[in-house]
Amino acid sequence: MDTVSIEVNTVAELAQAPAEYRDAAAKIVRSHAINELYGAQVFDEPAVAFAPTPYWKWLTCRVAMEEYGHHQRFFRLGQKMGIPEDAMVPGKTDKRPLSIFEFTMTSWEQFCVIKLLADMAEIIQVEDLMACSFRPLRDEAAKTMPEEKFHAGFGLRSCIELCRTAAGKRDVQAAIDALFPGMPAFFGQPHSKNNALYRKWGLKRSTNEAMRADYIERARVLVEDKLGLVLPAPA
Amino acid sequence: MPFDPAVVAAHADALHSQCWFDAAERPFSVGEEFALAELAPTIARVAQWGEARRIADDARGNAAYDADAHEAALLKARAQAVAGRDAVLEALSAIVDRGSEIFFAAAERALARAGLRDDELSRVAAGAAAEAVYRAALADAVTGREHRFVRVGACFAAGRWPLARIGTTLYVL
Repeated sequence: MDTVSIEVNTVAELAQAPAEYRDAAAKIVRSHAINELYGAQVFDEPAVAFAPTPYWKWLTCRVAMEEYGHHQRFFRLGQKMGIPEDAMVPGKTDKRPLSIFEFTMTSWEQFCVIKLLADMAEIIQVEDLMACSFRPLRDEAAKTMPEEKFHAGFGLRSCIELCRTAAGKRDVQAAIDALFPGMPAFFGQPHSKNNALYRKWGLKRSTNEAMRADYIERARVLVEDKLGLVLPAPA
Repeated sequence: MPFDPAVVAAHADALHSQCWFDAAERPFSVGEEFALAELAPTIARVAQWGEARRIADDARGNAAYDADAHEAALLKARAQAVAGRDAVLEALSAIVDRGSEIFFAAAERALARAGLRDDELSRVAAGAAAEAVYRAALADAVTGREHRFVRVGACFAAGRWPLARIGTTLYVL
């Protein structure tokens, strides 16, 4: 598919963009609004109860607030773009959140691994948006990035802490084994028609396959080089 | 008592005018000692931000934390039984939405005044403040101002951080 050189600087300008561009931009904003909120609801908020001390509970509480804030950013952008509010809220829309959120989290170790591996996946998606042709979306991605990096760093620091004991190391490895195989699905199907449209209009730069390969390599560095554990094969 | 969203809104409106973490590391005033005595039989002043993590990360603080979490869940259930889930969520979301930047910026400033920069501790402090103010607003809206959560919220609003209650001692930065 040929690429189209286009730069949309404001939401007002978006109204003049081709319908295919507007639909593609709306799909991305909607997806981020839904998944940021759903992730906070199924992982971050419940993790407060699993955290081992008040210090980690408050940190987790703050991380949940930041994830909710990311939803708010994309939600507000979506409102300005004319996306119906219910279409950006899980439970009120037919659009399902990403499959990784179907994982049932039952421990602090699993939450730390979610921050380590799921937030790394989010970073790769957001990095791609930072060159997006729709400037309001690019700006929101740039604002989101420092917090996403902190969250992933929190995942790494907490996993390193847990791995100081044999039991902790075993639990972190078990959490990686349970979570990682499903993680690459975060990047969508190969040869995706949606992704081709996003690249055609400069909304995204990378193919799903390239992001997935990048993710697996970064996850390998984290799990094998930093933690000294084993990265299982993707599903 | 019914759940009163106007009471929660008043807490949210006051967020900008409080002095979050401003009194950290300072000696207690007589007025503060009097107010803190309402929260625990013994008060221990934590004199430095550097001590905050060690005390908040002490697992002996879990019993009091868990008891507060249980109390907060009961209050929320009472509020939802009266006003409905969505109304309670909408009212309390204002605390989180409007407090998020305020608490974090205040914690960063207070740490900077102490010559420190610590992105994690800033977030922990901001999370603690958000949780306390959320619970204070909830308790005030359900049972009134005499609830202990309202006093803890006032302690944060006065610039302190109650870090942990271990046994009969409350540790306060």
